[in-house]
This record gives sequence, structure tokens and C-alpha cells, in this order.
Amino acid sequence: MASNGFQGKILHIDLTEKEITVEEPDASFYRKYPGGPSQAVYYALKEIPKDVKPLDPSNVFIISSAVLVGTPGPSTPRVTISAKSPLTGAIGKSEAGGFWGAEFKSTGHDALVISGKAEDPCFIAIKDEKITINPANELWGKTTKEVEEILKDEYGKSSNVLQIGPAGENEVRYANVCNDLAHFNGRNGMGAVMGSKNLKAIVVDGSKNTSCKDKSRAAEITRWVAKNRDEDPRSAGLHEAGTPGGITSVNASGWLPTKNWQEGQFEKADQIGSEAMEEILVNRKGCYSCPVQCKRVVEIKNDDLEVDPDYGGPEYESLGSLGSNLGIGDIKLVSKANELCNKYTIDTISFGMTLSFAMHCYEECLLDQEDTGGYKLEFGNEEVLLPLIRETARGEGFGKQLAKGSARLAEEIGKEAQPLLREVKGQEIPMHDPRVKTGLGLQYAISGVGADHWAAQHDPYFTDDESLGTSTLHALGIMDSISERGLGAEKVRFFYYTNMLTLMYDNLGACVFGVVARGIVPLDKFISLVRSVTGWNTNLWELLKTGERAANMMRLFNLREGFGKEDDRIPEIFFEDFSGGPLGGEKAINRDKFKEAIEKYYQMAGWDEKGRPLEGKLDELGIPKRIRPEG
Amino acid sequence: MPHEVEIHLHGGLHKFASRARRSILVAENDASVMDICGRICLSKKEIYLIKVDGTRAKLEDEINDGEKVDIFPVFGGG
Repeated sequence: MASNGFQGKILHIDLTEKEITVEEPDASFYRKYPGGPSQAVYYALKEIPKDVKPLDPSNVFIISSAVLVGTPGPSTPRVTISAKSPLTGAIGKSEAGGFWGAEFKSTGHDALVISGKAEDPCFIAIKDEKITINPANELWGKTTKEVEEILKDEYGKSSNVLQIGPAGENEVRYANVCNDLAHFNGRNGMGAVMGSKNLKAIVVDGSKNTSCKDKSRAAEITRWVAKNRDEDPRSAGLHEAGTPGGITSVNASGWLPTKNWQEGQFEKADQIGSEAMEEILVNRKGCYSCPVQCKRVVEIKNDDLEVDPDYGGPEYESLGSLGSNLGIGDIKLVSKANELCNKYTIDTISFGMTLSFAMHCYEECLLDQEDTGGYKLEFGNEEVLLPLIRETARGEGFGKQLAKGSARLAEEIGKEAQPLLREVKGQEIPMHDPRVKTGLGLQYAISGVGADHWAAQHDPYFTDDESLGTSTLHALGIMDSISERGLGAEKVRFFYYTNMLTLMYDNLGACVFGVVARGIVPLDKFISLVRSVTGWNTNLWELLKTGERAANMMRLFNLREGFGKEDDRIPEIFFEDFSGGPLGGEKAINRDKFKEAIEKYYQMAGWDEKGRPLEGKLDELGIPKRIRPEG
Repeated sequence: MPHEVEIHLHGGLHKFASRARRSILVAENDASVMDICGRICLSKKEIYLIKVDGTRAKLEDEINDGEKVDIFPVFGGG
């Protein structure tokens, strides 16, 4: 029997056979794999056949909540989706906030493992023990809000809907998965896997509270966050300005991705930042049990441009990828582009980066108007943005090319296009430049999911003894500040420890914006929260190990699928100096030092020189032999 | 002789400072950036970057009459 904090049931649904089974793992399973990627990647290794094509029915789509989800603890909404990624061919792992995870868990289940493919479009409904697979022919082709309204009419206002839009149905390689219209498992193309299974939506409505050993202690910590939110620069800044607050800061620093990363400053940055957004900002919202409330809600009611507030508002990543990176400096247009991506379930980062890559190719005469279906793909051309999002979602025109992602598009264009690519393992890089924070470069290179900006903590929070992050992670043994640009052993160690920490948060269901170093809740309070929910006599060491276990399972999956040391790399542009702005003529990453840092990481992780976890490391982490790949 | 300095606090920093997002501050003629930050109750840990008239400045730099000071918070993850 599972402990407090869990429902004790993993739901397995085979869409081909229409078979529903319930697994009841024992308590030791949950302690080792408390949720998030630890559970999801465990099932990916166990259930996904080697070398399967990601859009084949044999791929398996896994959704995992976590131990803290559904409890009164603060900032605990997270849900992980995993499958073999159609964008990278590696492990897919994508996190989302929102409310669906807590509602799913209240149906009495901790995770959902979906295999096979439905003969016709379907949706799954889970109302406690009543689980049905239902026809979705009338939902197929509809946008997310249309589907949300239909399903909520049928299943009630208290239900929550996780779904794909037309981009997922059409297997856009970076289609995402949406819940509650404004929250996304954004990366790795998990929406395309859902679409390949003819699965349109999963609607949940539960009545079973997650049991807590000491509910009042968990609630007390949430009240502490609510009381102190505005006293801490991190949570106060997130609430006041949201992630868009970073745009002008990053631009002033000289590393705002601009025109496919050719420049680090955008002359119209102040027109897409948080202050510009205030003109259309109508609300601030958040996720389940989160007092931070960092989400933006924007609305535009002009005759020629309407933005529906139900789709939320753009984050920093979307403002960069759909704005400065394309040379577009109009907050209203970028907000509309964000809304369309949300309607169709398109990852804004990968779409914006694939379009910026195509624009760069166009300006270098590697593509012409005949290739682009008549579009003039010049940076700053506002007219192309919205039509190309629609075409991409529908798999029409040049959008059909963009839907493949930048790496596949580059292969078709030819080798001259390769230097213009900014991706790792096939996944387009997010809006952070590793030349000014090298720990982030290690995240991009080593993360199993391809370029990922939340595989670890960000260097600028640790640059001197008074930095916001430095004093918060002493319990990890991070006592001293680090250089933003260093690549020595202390930087590798910083990355290694905070990679474990960040995966630990994912495994437990906590949002990185709620807990240190980016959020307000300190480690001692966080561990106290886990203890109060579970009743376990646990500590930071045991919980960090769940993060390390997840990282190693992801590595095992990728090794099995043919990935190796040569895939742990960053795009060539980062070995070059900035071309202009305040950082012009400097900051190139030293190639040899970067290579040495990766090798140092392997040594710290207990991996061999080819990046393969040593048998002893896998034994130490207790990863069962039955899920380890052979050889 | 005291002089006037224009202050612009970015990315939600004004929630911390004893100032509106944009304001004019009267400072002593030998005031440094650090003095200005102290006047508006911002500590070093809350600041990532300071620009004076568009150029990166250090905390010990002196501020002159009529200059514009932009103060940015640390940012990571988005």
C-alpha cells in the first residue's frame, strides 16, 4: 500500500485493444519514483520498445503527477509527460503547471500509461473509477477552447481538460499538450505523440483528496509564502512583472536573442517587455495552490486584432522566440501569435526558432519565395507570422516544412544551412545565451531532452556571495559563488548538483518558480513539506537521489536509442563572440574548456568516457536490471 | 549643489523600492550609483545591471546632473 501523498494506482490504457488495467505498486516503488520524470521515464524505459518510430502506435505516452500534487503545499501543480520524442528521437520529457494534474490525481490515480492507437479519434474520460474511451470525431479538427467548452458542458465545470489542438492531430513535430487552455507541456513534441494515437483529450473529474500525514503543516507553508511573497525579490518580481519582466533586463545586458541569434540587442525590446504588456494586461493568474501567481492574462478587442484572455498571455520565452528573434517588436502581434499557438497547441519556442532559421536562410538566399509559398521571409516582416502559424498547424503550404522543426528543414535545404541552426539533439534552443552563463550551456548539451533551460539553476543567481541564490543552496554543499563564464570544476559541480535539485523538484511536483533558488520557499521548508505530506523520515539526500536517478534513466533511454557523447554539444554560434551591442567582440565559449567540462561532468556523474553510466552507479541508484538496456 | 537624476526601475523592482517605476530623485553632487540605490531602499542582491545614460555602470560610479539611471533585476528561466 502506498504512503500518504499517493493514490497508489497507475492507470494503463491500451487504445488498440480498448483495455484498461490498474497497477498498484507497493510503497517502496513510490519512495524511489515519487512522480514526475522519475515515474514517467521509468515507464518509458520499461514499456517503449527500442528503436520504435516516435509516431508509431508502439510508442507509449505517459503522464505522471507527483507526491505533492493535490496537497495544500505551495506551488505544487506539476505534471510530466514522457514518450519517445518525434522532434529529437530521444527521451521526451515535458513539464506543465495548471490544474489538471491535481484533478487527475483526485480521480485516485498517480500516473497514466497510454499505449497503442485508437482506430478513430477518441477522448478518455476519468471520473474516479469510471474510465471510458469515447468517440471524438466531432472534436477532431477543433481548437482548444472549442473542445474545452464542449467537454466541460458534458462533464461539468469542475472537470479539467488536457488536450491537443490541430497541430497535435497533424503531428507537427513540436506540437505541445495543453491543459486548462493556458498551461502547456510545451517541449519535445508530446502533442504529436498524442495525435498519432488518435487521442484528442483526457477529461478528468475526481473526488478523492490526496491524503497528507500533516495537512495543517503543508497549508501553513503555503500561508507563509502568501504572506512573504511581496518581501522576496524573486516571487515579488514574478508576480508583478511575470517572466516578461526579463525582456528589458536581458536586452540591456546584450544577450536578447535577436534575428536568429545574430544579434544580442533588439531596438524594439521595450515594445515587447512587461511594461509594454501592461496596455493589454487584464489579469495575473497562477496554478494549483500557488500564491506566486506569475501568469499573465492579456486581452485585445480591436476589430482587426482580437486576443482571447482565456488563452493567458505570452511568457518571456514566447516574447523572445516570436518577437525579438524574428525582429518583431509589436506586443499586440506577438500576443496574437502566442494565442494562435495556444489554440492549435504549437510550442512557441520551437516554432519561433524554426521560423527564424527559415528567415535566416531566406536572407542568405538559401530559400526563395518559390520555396516559401510566396512569403518574403525577411526579419521583421510582420505579415508572415500569423498565416504561417495557421499553415504549420494545418500542415499546409510552407507551414508543412516548418512543422518538421529546424533540424529536419536544414537537412532538406543542404549543408550551407547547418551553421544557421541553433538546436541540440534536434530541439531548438530557448531564449538564454550560454555565452553569458556557461552552466546553462552544460544544461543545453547534457540534458537528455535536448536544449532545455530548466535542467538546472541559472548562473546569475550565484555570481557573488550576496547573490539571491548563493546562500540558499548551502545544504547542497554549494557554499561559494561561481563565475558566470567559468567552466572549471566548481561550475561543473554547480551544474551537477542543481541538475539533481531541479529534477528533484520535477519528481515531487514543485514548480521551479516556487522554490529556491528561483523561488521563495527555502530548502528546509521544502523538505519539511515533503515530510508533512508523506510522513516519511526523509531528507534532502534521499530526495536528490530521485533526481539523479531520473537523469540516469533518461541517459539510459538515449544510449539505447543510439545517442552518445557526440550529441552532448551546443550550436557553433556559441563558440563565436557576440557580433555587436555591449558584448560585441567578446564572450565566445572556449571550445576545449567546454569539452573538458563535459568530460568532468561524466566523471562526477559516474559515467565512463563515452558518457555511459557505470554499472556501479546504476546499482547505487537502484535502477532495476530489468529496465536497463542490454549491452 | 544637488542635482536631479531620472530613475527607471525595470522588471518589477519598484515593488521593493521606495519609489514609483519612473521617478526623479534629487541627489548630492558627489552621489554614487550605490548612494542612489540606498536612497530608494534597493540592496545589491536585488540588482543585476545598472545603466547610466545607456552605458553599463558600476555601483561606485558617480552620477551627474540630468543623467538617467536604469536599474535591472536578475533574471533566469522563463
